Amino acid sequence: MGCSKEKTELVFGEAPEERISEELAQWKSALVSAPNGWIAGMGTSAKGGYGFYMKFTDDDKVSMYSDYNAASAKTSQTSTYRLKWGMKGTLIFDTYNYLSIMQDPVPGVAGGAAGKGYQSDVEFEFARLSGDSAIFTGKKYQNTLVLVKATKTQEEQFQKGDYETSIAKFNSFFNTNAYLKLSINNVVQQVAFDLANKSLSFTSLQEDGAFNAKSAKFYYSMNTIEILDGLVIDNIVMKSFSISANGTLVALDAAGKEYNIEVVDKPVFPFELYFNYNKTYNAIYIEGSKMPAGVTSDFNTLWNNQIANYTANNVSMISMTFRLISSKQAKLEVWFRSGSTDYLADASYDYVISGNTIKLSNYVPSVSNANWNNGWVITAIKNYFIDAEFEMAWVTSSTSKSAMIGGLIKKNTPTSFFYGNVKKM
Amino acid sequence: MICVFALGSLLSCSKDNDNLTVDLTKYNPDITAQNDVDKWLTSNLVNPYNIETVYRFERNFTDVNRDISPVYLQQVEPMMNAVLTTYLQPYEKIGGKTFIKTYTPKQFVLYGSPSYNTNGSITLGTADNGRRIVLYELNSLDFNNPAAVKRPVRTIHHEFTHILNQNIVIPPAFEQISKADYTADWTGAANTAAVAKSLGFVSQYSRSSFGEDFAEMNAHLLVEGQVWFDNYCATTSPAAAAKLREKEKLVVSYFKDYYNIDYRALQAEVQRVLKEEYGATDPVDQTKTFKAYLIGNKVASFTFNPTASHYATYGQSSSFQTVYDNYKTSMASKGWTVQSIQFIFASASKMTFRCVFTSGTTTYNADYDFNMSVDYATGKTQFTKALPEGSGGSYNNGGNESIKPAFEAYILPYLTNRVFVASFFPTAMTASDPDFGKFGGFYVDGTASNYFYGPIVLK
Repeated sequence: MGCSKEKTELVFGEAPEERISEELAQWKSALVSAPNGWIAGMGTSAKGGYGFYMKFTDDDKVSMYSDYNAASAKTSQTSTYRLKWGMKGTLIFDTYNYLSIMQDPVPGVAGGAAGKGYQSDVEFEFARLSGDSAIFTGKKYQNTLVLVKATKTQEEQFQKGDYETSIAKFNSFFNTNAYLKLSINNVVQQVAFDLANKSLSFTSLQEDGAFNAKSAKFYYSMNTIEILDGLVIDNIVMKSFSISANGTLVALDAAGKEYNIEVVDKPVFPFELYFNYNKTYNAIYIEGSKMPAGVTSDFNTLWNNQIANYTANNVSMISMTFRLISSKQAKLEVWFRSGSTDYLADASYDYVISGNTIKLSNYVPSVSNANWNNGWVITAIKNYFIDAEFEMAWVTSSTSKSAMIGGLIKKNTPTSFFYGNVKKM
Repeated sequence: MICVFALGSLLSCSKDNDNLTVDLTKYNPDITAQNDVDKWLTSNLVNPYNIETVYRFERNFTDVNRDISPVYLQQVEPMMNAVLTTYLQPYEKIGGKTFIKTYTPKQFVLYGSPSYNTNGSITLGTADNGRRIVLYELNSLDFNNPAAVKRPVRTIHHEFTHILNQNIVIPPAFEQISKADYTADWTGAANTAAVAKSLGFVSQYSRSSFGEDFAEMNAHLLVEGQVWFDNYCATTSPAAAAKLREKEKLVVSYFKDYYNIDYRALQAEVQRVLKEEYGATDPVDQTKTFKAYLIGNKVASFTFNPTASHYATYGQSSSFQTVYDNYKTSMASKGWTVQSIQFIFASASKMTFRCVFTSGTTTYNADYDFNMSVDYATGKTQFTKALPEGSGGSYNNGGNESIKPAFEAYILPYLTNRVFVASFFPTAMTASDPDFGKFGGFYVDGTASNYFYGPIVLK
């Protein structure tokens, strides 16, 4: 009568501890067996991407370089790591190393938020091994950690300190060349790098006149900049950037296609798309007694006369700002200092924007007080704006490729324009 | 019932449980290699004490919701060496091998960063169930800075006190000393370090409960040392100092009565290690001040006799000399020759002014009583006339019609119309001078050139 039951069926063929053991062994052997180590990229939630070179050894040790700063790029540091099974297999950088800096909750270490750091992990769950890559996901913040096998040459370059020079080369390129453009599928894209936050953006103009901006985190690899997780632009996955032998910046997509990047001396898209009372910028301003350098305009003479007038009367220029305060009203505001007191002289105008032209009318002098009428703004400047019609355009400087200068060009007089830095007030 | 049971047992089958039994030889340990730090830990902590050190980041021993950094590998051995030398070995030496092996927590968990609390404060250490001590913020720890080393060491001693208290409870008398002043809101803005001190607590955290108070007392006495504690008591109100002293007494007797540990020997051992191996030094002894002597009722008297040689060596106040000379002249006009004056301290709040004078070859004393108050923080001292005068020959002399007027004309107003500051003299002398602490007296607050002092006679 008693039953004779067969052995319990194992749904996956082997006992759980055996399968765990196999997977841990597979990952460990993958990590350790890369003969020249790995180049790694990691995202953070509160900041951008960070790059590393890592070499794992069988004795639970890992040595590292990082693009965190100049010292970490050329000084190898060794810590321990281990593979542990939690809900999934997990790679834990379990003593402090460069990668812990991003996770460190002490604001004094890397400037992150108290208790949060850059919102990053030291524990990474196995995602997949594919070809030359090992891909992990941060246990808490879910950012990608991607490891790509390094070549022998690359390993030697890291050991020689070339990482620091490679990073410095990119940074100096971006510091001198602020405006970059390229075409993807015949659509013009402006590329911008935020070096402090290790992120970048591609911006294109939609048919309706609005901007389409896509951003991603980046990290430095050896002689390249890698986009973490890639960035999809019009169905093309953009992957990395490098600087060519002749010093130009080249972008690469996932298929290995190269895109030449053109350096331009002013923003790629026209000023009028940015400038209105409700757009990115609504003010053109000059701070202090000097106009932005490297620009030749008839307005320079007016400005110099204004400054000379102030000097003769023992006052100094704080700022001159032309701004669009509402959908129909604009103001010219001049702040100046006498002794230790600041004074305002202002006038207002009605304006109408049509395409790239702005037309002023209904000039009202001395809006806030009598200073405007009392001679604190010279007549030539007053007349410059009364009922004037301007063309809005970016202005280029002969001395700076990163200055962002907006200009109001007198209709039919290309050599005469008011200009200054732009901001939203 | 029996029938059904029998049927059931007949039909039951023997199940094959092979697949449900985990073969522990196939268990997956996550730490697979022993490094040099592990070897050091094995021979210094695992083998002798069976203590495990979890230094490789383990989320489950801390708050999983918080971001906490791993410790630097190179900080592990110095930290655990400090545990060994400033905690395990002193207890082992004074309390015995069995004592420390029985009671020590068996697991130390190390993290590199502090654990940030939601109220903005940070946690530096915790103890769980008498088994585990978790230490934070070790990455920034400078082992060459004794003050920095003392902090985690204090945490360890603090947590260990809890373990001892869980085995043998704190004597009930301890709880009574500051019972009214314990507060759950010890991190509140009102509980400043100064407030805690003025209430007789060794730290702000002490106020949270008598259990924490006891642990803080023990940790501070052992790690900060007796000189520090004496200073702490000497620079707070006598009432607060009395509470601290009472707590100190109970901590010392707790160790002796319940664990047969000579607390002073234990304290000396911890201090010796901190000094010899970590370069700790005792703070400047603030109990060696004239004000502390007076408040502690240690001074019997001092005598002002202008002919004494030390006034030539260490200076004399012309302002005070004028008062003295006027007094002397006035007494002389009645036929009394003043030889010296004395300041006699019967208690911490009573001073007797004595005039020693002669007539012919006979020496007489005239006494006058004053109330005295000495501020423990500043040493500011005020005298007020105590009435009625005492009884006896010297007081009778003082009341004599030919003697009292000179006192009332010169000495009484001088002493009662001023605020004095109690001090050793000369005031600028440093503790390294062999004569330091030999002369005490008072100078007028704000007028340092107006002073009187004499050689201190201790009780």
